[in-house]
Amino acid sequence: MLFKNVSARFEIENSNSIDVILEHNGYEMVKKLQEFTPEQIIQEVEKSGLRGKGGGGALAGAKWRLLEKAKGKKYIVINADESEPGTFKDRSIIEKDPHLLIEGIILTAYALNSNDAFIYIRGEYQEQAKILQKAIDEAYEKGFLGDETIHKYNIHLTLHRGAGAYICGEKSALLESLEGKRGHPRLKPHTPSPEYFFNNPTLVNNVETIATIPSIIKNGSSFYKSLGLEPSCGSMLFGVSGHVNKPGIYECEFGVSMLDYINTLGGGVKGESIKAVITGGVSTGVIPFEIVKDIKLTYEDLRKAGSSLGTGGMIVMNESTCMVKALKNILSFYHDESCGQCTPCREGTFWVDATLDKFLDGSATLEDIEILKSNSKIMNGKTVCVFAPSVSTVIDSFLKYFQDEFIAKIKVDV
Amino acid sequence: MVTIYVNNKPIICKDKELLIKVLKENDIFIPHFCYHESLGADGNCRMCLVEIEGSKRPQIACDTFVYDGLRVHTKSESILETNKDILELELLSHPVDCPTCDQAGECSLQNYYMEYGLYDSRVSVAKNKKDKALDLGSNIMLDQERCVLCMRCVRFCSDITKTDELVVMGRGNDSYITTTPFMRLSNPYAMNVIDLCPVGALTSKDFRFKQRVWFLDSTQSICHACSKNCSIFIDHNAQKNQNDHVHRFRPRVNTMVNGHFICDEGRLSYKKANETRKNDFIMKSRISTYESILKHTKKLLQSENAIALVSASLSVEQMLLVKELSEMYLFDVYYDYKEDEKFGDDFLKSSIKESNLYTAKLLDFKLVDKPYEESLISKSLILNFNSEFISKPRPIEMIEFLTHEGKFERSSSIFTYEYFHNDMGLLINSDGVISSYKKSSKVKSEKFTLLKILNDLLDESYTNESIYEKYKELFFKNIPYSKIMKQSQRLGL
Repeated sequence: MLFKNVSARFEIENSNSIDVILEHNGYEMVKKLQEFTPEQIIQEVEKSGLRGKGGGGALAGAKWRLLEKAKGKKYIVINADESEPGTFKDRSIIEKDPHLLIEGIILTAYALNSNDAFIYIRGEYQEQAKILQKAIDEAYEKGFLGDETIHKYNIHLTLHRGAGAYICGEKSALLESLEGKRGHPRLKPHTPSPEYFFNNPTLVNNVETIATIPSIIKNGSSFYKSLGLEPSCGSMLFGVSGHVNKPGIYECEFGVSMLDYINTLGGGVKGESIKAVITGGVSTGVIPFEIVKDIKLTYEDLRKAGSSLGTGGMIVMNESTCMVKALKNILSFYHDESCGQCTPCREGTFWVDATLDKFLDGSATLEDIEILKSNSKIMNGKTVCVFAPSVSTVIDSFLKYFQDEFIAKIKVDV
Repeated sequence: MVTIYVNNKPIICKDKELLIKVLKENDIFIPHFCYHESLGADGNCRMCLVEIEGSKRPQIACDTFVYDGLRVHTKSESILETNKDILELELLSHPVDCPTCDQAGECSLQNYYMEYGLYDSRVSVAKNKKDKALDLGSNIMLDQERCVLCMRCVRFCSDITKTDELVVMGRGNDSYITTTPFMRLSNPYAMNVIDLCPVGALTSKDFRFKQRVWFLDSTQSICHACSKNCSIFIDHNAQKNQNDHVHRFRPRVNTMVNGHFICDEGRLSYKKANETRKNDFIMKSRISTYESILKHTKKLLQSENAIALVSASLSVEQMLLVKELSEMYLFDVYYDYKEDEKFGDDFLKSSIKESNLYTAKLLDFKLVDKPYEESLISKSLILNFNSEFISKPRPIEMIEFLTHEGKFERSSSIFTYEYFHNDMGLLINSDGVISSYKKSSKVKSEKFTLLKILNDLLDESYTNESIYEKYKELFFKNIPYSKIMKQSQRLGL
């Protein structure tokens, strides 16, 4: 079941040191950089069916093509603001194989004719930022980055630490933050277009997406495309946490059974049985065991189940879990992290969080269920970014499958 | 041009125009907080959501560009519900302190509540508390609890004045507007944020707690603080048994002159309108009557060798009548002006403080300089039309036409006349734009206008219109009076 592609070097001792990985095919594709034309690399990525691993799952090649066609100085920005609860895959890449990410960045920058790349790393990832900075310094030292590189392509890479805002994982808010402004998502363009960094066309890709590039170039697009279950091609660093015996990151091809994954790689549920699973980071909502047992880990299957694959970070909850408390935990997070730009999100996340308190302290009434539902409705599809719609998804899924538990918390005067 | 359909009614408009702009220009009610013509769209308030046929979700009108055949609904049941729900959220932690809020009566939250709300509160959770009565500087008070975080004020300071004194701090519903650390709100246009604020979050320290806005009358006028001639509203009223009192100046939109804004100095120059002379006529230092001083003046004009000095802030019509008078009695007319380089900027403040210098030059009045001083020696009468540059080299007969207290109260004869806030007229600004200011129909005039006094001296009966029309071909490129009354006109430099 385990399929090691991006995680191939994770088990090697001191795998984040450049000397170690150079003995294990490190920077192999970068050394051969001049054997490829930029167009060849773009085409390989397009043909591979690689999908963005940051949660949206859009085709990476199409996004690259938008930047390729844009005019002006181009920038590559790597989104390492991994803050989605239940998600820690990018962290393992940064900790265990940062040079794979740097290799991917060099290939991407070369393909898209960009000489400047940035990594925007989550503020809380202090240790990881140190590891990554050390790796970047090493790569400069060895001549993989800088002005006179051994692969004859100038590329500068800068690490930038966020200041601890979840919303800066949203690509346009990330760019605002990187530009030195408050991290507010931007209004979406009306036609397909790349992102813009200081008005220059920019590609924003997730860490794992870029870390996948070297293997696609090395093994060829057809190999990558043959993995998984089309149109969910390739493999992904799925993660599992919560009530399991072996929480962690385990890379698999798309299409494995969610239940098998939890039971084998995750070491099975702690406790009696699985009650529910949050499928791919909390924003994808919750599904009960009845649905979990038939789910394959593909974008399509999870979409059909009314959830989404998201970042592939599953949170398993056993029979002892109070779903009201679980939702309160999640809504507190959203209340804390809403950037406050759009009214529905700014006020809605506060109202639902405060309403959940009423369920927990026993003062809730039936009307409070309605308040949760109406807030979910007004937060869905009426804001600049997808933060508020995610809150809706979460509330809706909890109420769809576990409304009884909420009603049970309402004290009825008889 | 394209045709769009709003609530099934066709509207013809420019292609790719912003939908909210089209709706507003066509007087279709569209609630909004963050959008403002001068600041553009920000898309944060989500109040202007409309239904667009063919679109799955409601769209904000401030980020929708029109195209031919676009079909928009602003009144469908679902969109009304959406608007109501968003308004409910805006009001979630609002203190609802309208009775003590100066914005009451001109508050978007109030207006929209009357339009969409009128519901019973469903809120059973504690309101979010924030800071109140914060003095930000420049006469501006902030109440964070009333704020809807539309960011107009922040955008004004970053995009218009480029001074960046205001920022949003905190996150989610704990977000609040405040000043940038170690900064106070201090730029010469700061008070515009009070007008921009759609709610009672930013109020004027100068105006707060003084007047309920529904008791105010608004008169279209022109600011006289410099030669930019910004269009303003004069908000004034008369309390029972009291004279009319001016409470504030507010900018009036005029794309040819000042756009949406005025400077703080101009805004606060309303105080001068409340400091005018009491209605009196002085002859030889004693209180007299209009008739006797009129007779006295005519006699002097006939017998004495006169010279006149005009303020370059007189209106076009006033200057034209001074010109007529000078031609009748054969005297020279001089003017002077002040140039304050520190005051001027490249936005709305002109370094020339007189509001009608253009006309003084146009009518060939003479600039005060050496020849004026020399010619004074041979003169036996000075006529001063409200100029503050007047000097009196020796005991000499002087007749002054004043709006405010003058320098030579004890030694001259004085006609008191109505200041501009209670008068009408035309002004030409330093860019050569001619604009009109109006007189309120609600204020009962107690003083004579300068036009009436000059007419009496001339034994004429010109109106503002007739005196202008008489000279429009000679001086004003034949622009009809009625056209200027409707809208400012460009004369050119």
